[in-house]
Amino acid sequence: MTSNDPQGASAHDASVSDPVAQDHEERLRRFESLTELSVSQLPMEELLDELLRRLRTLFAVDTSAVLLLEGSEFLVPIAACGIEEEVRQGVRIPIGRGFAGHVAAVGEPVVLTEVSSATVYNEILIRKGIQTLLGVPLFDGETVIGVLHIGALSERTFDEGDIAMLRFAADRVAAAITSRRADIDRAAAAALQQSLAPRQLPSLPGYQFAARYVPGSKYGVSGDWYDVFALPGGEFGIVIGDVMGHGLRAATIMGRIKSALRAYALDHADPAVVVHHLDRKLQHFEPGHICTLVYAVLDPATGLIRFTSAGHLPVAIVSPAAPPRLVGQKVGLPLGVDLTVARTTNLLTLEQDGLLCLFTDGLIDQRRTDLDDALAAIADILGNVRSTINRADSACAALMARMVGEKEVQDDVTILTAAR
Amino acid sequence: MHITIGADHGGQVELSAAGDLDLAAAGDLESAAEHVMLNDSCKRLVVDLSAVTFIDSTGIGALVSIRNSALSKGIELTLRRPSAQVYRLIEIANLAAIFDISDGQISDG
Repeated sequence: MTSNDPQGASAHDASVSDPVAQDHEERLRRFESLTELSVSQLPMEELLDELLRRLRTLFAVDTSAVLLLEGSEFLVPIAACGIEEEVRQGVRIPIGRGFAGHVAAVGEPVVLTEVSSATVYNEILIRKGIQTLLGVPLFDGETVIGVLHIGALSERTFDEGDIAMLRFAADRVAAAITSRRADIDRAAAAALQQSLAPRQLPSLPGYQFAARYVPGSKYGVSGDWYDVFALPGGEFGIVIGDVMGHGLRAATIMGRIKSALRAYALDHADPAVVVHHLDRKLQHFEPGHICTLVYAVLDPATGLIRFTSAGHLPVAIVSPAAPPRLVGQKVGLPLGVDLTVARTTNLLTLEQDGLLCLFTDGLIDQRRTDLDDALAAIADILGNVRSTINRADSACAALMARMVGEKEVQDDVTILTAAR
Repeated sequence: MHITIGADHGGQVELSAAGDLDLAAAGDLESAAEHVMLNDSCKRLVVDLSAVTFIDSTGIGALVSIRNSALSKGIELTLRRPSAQVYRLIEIANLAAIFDISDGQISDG
C-alpha cells in the first residue's frame, strides 16, 4: 500500500466552497480514518505502520514515530515513518532528555521549533534536517506509556487543532497498544503456565498423585503451580505454591521459583533449608515478589513426610483411623519477606489408605465464606472421599465439585493430592 | 477500593483504605504508600484497615511490599484495626509477628 490517503485527492474537488469549512470537513474525515483503523484486526506492527503513514498525510508532515517506555528509564522507538532508521538502530532515549524524553517526563504535548543537539537527544532527527516537532504522550489510564511525535522538514506551526488531533491519534495508538499488550500478556502467561505444568505426575508404586489447575476468570492465570518430582535417594518432592500477582509477571516468577526449588531440592535434604535458599535467591534476584508455598518430601517406604510451609494455607491429611486434619503448625514466613526468621521442618505420616491434600487459596471463595469454615468444609469433603480406583483423583474431583461447583472461579484454583 | 491519604502530623502520615483489598486494588494501595513514603519528612506510616471489607493474598502481598519498602527507608509501619477476617488472613500467612498491628482506638492519633 502506498502512503497516500485515499480521501486526500477528492478533498480538492469537494463542492464545499468555504476553504475553512472544507479543511474541517477534511480533517473530520481523516479522524474517521484513524478511528476505523485502530479497531481493525491488523497485527500490531502493521497497525502502527499504517497509522503513522496516515498521520503523515493527515498533518502534511515528513516524519512520525511511536516510542514506548522500556522499564522506567528509556523510550524505545517501535514504529516510525520517514525516520525508519531510529527503529532499526535500536535508539534509546532517556526519560527527561531530549524531545521525546521531555514529552514523556512532563506528560503534556510539546512543540519544538528549534531542533538542535541542545534540544534533541536523537541525532537522527537532526541529521534528517527536521525543523519542527510536535509530540504528545501516550497514556494507559494516568500512566505515560510512550510518546507519539510528528516532524516537519520545513518550518511550520502546530496550532491547538493540530495538538488536539494528535492527542486523539495518541489515544487510539495507546488503546491499541494497551489492548494488544494485555492480549499478549494473557496469552504468554497462559502458555507459560501450560508449559510449566507437569505433563504427567510421576508414577510411584503404592501411591497415586492427582492435581487440578483452573486459571482464574477475572484476571487470567496467576502465579499458582504444583510439582511432584523424584529425588535421587528414592524420595519424592511435592510442592504447591502461589506467587502473588497475576499475568505474565507472576507466571514468570513462578517458573523461576519452580525450577530453583527443584535445583535446591537436589542438593539439600531438609525442606526448610531448600526453602531458605529459595527465599534468598528470590529476594536477591527478584526483590519485591511474595510467594507462599508448601514443600514436602515423601519417603515412599514409610509414608513419612517432612514438610515446610512458607506462609501457605494448611495441608490436609486424612488417616483411616482418625478424623481429617489440617496441619498448619510452625508455618514460616512467605518467601520475599525476611531471611533472618528461621524456617522449620515439620513431620507428618501419610498412612496406608490415607490422603494428603495441598491447595491454594483460590479454592476458597473468601468473599462469601469465612476462611475457617471453608477449611473445615475441605477437611470434611476429604474425609468422605470413598475408596475408588484412583482416590487421589476422586479427592480432587470432590473438592472441585463441592468447593467450586458451578461458580466461575475468580482466582486460580490449584489442588494437589497424594493417596497411599 | 477507596484510599485516603491524611495530613502529615509530625512525621506520621495516615493512609486509610476502604473497600476490597484485592488484585484490583493492591497496586493502588502500594502506589499510595510509596507516594507517602517518598516524602522525607515521613517517619511513620499508619495504614488504617478498619474499613477494608475483604482482603485476598494479593492484598496481603501489598501489605508485605509496603512493609519491606518502609523497612528499607527506615519508616515505621503500623497496621491499624484490621477486621477479624483481615487479621485471620495475616495470621494464616504467619505475618502477624512481622507487622506492628494496633487496635488503635485511642492511642494513635
